Amino acid sequence: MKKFQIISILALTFVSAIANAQNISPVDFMKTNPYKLRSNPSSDLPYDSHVSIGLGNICGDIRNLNFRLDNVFRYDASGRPSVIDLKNFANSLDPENGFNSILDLEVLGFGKKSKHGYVTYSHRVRFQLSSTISDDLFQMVAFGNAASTGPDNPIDVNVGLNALCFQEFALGYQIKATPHLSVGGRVKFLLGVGEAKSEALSVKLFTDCEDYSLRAFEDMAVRMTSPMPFQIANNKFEFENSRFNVADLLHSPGFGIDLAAEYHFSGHLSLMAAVNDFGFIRWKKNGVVLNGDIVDNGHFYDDGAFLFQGVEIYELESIFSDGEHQNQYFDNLKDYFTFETESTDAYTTMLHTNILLRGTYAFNDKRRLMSQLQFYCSGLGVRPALTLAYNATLNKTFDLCATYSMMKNSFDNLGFGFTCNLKFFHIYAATNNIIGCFKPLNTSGMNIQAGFVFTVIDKNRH
Amino acid sequence: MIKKVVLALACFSFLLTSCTKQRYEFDNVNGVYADGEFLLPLVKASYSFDSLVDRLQLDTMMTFDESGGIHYMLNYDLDKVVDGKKILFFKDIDADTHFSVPNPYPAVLPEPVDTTLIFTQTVTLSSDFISVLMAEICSGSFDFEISSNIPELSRIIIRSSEIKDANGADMCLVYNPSSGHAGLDLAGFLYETETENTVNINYEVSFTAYDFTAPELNFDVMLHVTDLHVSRMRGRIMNYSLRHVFDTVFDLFPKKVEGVASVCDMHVRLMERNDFGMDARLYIDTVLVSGDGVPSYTVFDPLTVPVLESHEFVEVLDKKVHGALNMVSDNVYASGLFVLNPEESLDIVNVNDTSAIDVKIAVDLPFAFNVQKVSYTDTLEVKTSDFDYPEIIQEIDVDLEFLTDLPFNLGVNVYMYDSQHQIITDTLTSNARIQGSFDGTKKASTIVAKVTEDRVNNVLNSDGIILSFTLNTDAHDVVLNLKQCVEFTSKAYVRYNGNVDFNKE
Repeated sequence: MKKFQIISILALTFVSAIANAQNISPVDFMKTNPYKLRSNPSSDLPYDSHVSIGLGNICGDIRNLNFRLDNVFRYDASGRPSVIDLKNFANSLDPENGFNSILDLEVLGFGKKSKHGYVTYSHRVRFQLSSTISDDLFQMVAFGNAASTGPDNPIDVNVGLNALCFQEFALGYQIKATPHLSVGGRVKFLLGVGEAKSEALSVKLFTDCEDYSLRAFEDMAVRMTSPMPFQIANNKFEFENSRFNVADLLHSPGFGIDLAAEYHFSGHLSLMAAVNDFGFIRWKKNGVVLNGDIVDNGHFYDDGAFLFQGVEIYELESIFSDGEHQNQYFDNLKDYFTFETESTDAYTTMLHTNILLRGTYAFNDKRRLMSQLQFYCSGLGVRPALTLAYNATLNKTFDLCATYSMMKNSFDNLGFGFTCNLKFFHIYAATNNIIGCFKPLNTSGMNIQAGFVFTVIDKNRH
Repeated sequence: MIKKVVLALACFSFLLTSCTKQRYEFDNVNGVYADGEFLLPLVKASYSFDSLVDRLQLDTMMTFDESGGIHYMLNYDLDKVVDGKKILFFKDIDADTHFSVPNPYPAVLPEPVDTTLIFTQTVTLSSDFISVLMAEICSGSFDFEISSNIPELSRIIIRSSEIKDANGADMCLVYNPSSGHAGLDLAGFLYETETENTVNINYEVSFTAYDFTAPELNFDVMLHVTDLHVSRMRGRIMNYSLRHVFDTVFDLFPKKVEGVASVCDMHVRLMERNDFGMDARLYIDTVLVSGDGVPSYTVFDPLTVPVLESHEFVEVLDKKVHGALNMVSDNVYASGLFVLNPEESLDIVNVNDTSAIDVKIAVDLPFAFNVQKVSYTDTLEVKTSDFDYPEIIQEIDVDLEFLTDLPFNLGVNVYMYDSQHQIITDTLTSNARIQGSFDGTKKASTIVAKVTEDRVNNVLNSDGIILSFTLNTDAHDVVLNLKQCVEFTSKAYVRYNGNVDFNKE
């Protein structure tokens, strides 16, 4: 059994070398923090009850997979940025570059130990953003278009966007089903606030090898929903009604569940599996689709594309010598790239589901080593992540946790968190990238979570 | 304990390496470094020949036929080459007549006797060109000077039945002997005679005879005919000839085009209108053309052209000629003799002083020519200096591609020009060639202009482009047509490397 334990941890560690870690908080690995239930609903809490109002859990997560400030600039002898280095910046990017963000605020939460388990309730406001952008735009700005010629080699600026904001009303229950197995889950009623998702958002630019003509295709299909009806006119976003009504938040209901199970093989080793945020939201009102395409605005239009083969000779002199004509000329070019909005029927979106696999080795009652494999499904793809964590409780007052996350092109992601258990309340703070807090523009991302919770200890257990 | 201290120091060192405030002093950023290559289309154009017409300002002088053929038209109007006013007049003359009659009264009379004597003077009006039987006088005068040995002249009445006033009354002038002079303005009078160009004038001399012993009575009349013009006449026109010289300079193209071309199938047309009521004839004896670089040559041999009577313009000559023309300007010298009534007909005709022979000359120059060297220069105002270009451009390669069925070769020189300092800042192309088409098919040509780093600044800070073309037809006789065209595209390869400073002034 011991060999199996060691092999399991090593295997998970090996996998970590090839995975990208993200969306991890040291709070998830703390033994006594009530908000470890957020990632593992089957986790056992040593409390009789807990209550939080407003400040129970404030969580922010930013994931910037590729953009690094240090790659943007050249620095002088004193360490100050002196020149924007487009070449270095473009080379530092991947073909697809992601930016994700999560904001999570618990409005009200409480839990109570029942006869067999632990019942929880929480009301949260949540925001999730996933976005990607291809590196072609930056490649073109840095290197030009000479390397992207021919019918099969366009400059493809592709942007992915998936944003979601909703309220969550969750009722949870955790129970120790057997001496070895704990299970838990949450049933969640959701109210959507707003959503934006890009079905297509790209511009392709083809450069002809022979005559260097530039042919651009625009493809835009972005779906958006907001609490109040809105319109986009003259490139401005405006709500049609100036007054906000609470009833505007009740148009888009949804449903979700969190499920988890943890099995203790022995007093030292346990494995946990969880599926969080498996659900959907039905957007019934104020849905709009932005469709963009090249429009026929003149002689640059060619079969659905914007085709630039050069300036007409009779316009050349006017453009160079007449400032007003020059402005009109370029304004006319912009009018080829337009979009229009149309209402959409009710539609359904899935939540960004999180799948966790966690192994824990408890050295003793106060010290534990954990390894977690996470799959985050954002609608723009599945991103695996892996974290190593070490948790220690000191004097029953401090619950400390250190994490180490490995990310692509970044190896200094040391996380740290603490929970201070005072008699009737917990105060905690944690980040999965303490170094990133001091250099936020040069980090692949960080998670900051903090809160203030009132707790009542379960005397039967202490 | 030591382990804890080491761990704390290690963590602290991480913080130190991260926490560098200078790293975020973005105000210190002063530029952008870039290194790349761009491929760009620049300019395109499709010139059919009619668009070149606008550029060369030829639209007022060109006509086009149905097949697109182009004709360059030169028109000259010569009004009143033969002018009736210059024919219908009499020369100034002085008609001096002496009358002498024997004294009818030999001795002293017992009492005075009132006596009237009538003398008739026949005056022949002088003209080289007209014999008039009837005419309306529009200007002129008769002035009389009379002297006599007749005493006691009381009055002299001068009459003529051949000159009548507007009311039809005979000319009648009362001469006062004391003044010695009498005159008559004949404007508006009608002259009519049975003997051409003659006027009979009667002088009724009244005197009182009493003591006059001279054996003869003498009466001298001096008639001055001055500035006598008629507005209308009936009579005969004698053979009238007039030499007319046509000497003019015509500009073929605006000053931008220079050189000499051999022009084929040029048509010279003459149209004339002759309302004299009689035929005329034109003897063209000299037609010469000369120009800068074009030795003087005879356009065609001397010839005779009939100018028949007509109240409308009639084409009297249409001659095909060949020759060379200077593209800027040429001098034409032509000389001819107009002869009115060349057959010396004696027919009686009615002629007005508004009668005339008018001539129109039309030169139809089809755009069919053979050119050894014609040059055209144009300047485009392209203020590249108005744009801010980053100073990191290392090379610009501009390809100019032409596709044309115009039947002439073009040599091309392109210069960048600084109008402020009046200097050429760069030569983009020198002696490049655009192949013409002499078989009706489109020909492609490419001209490449490479601008290296040391010249980029000159090119991008100019405010004009000078285009200089030399044209030749490779010894072909070519015909230009409106449908012929040249398509032109240009593209550029730009290589850049370096820092672009934000604070560049």
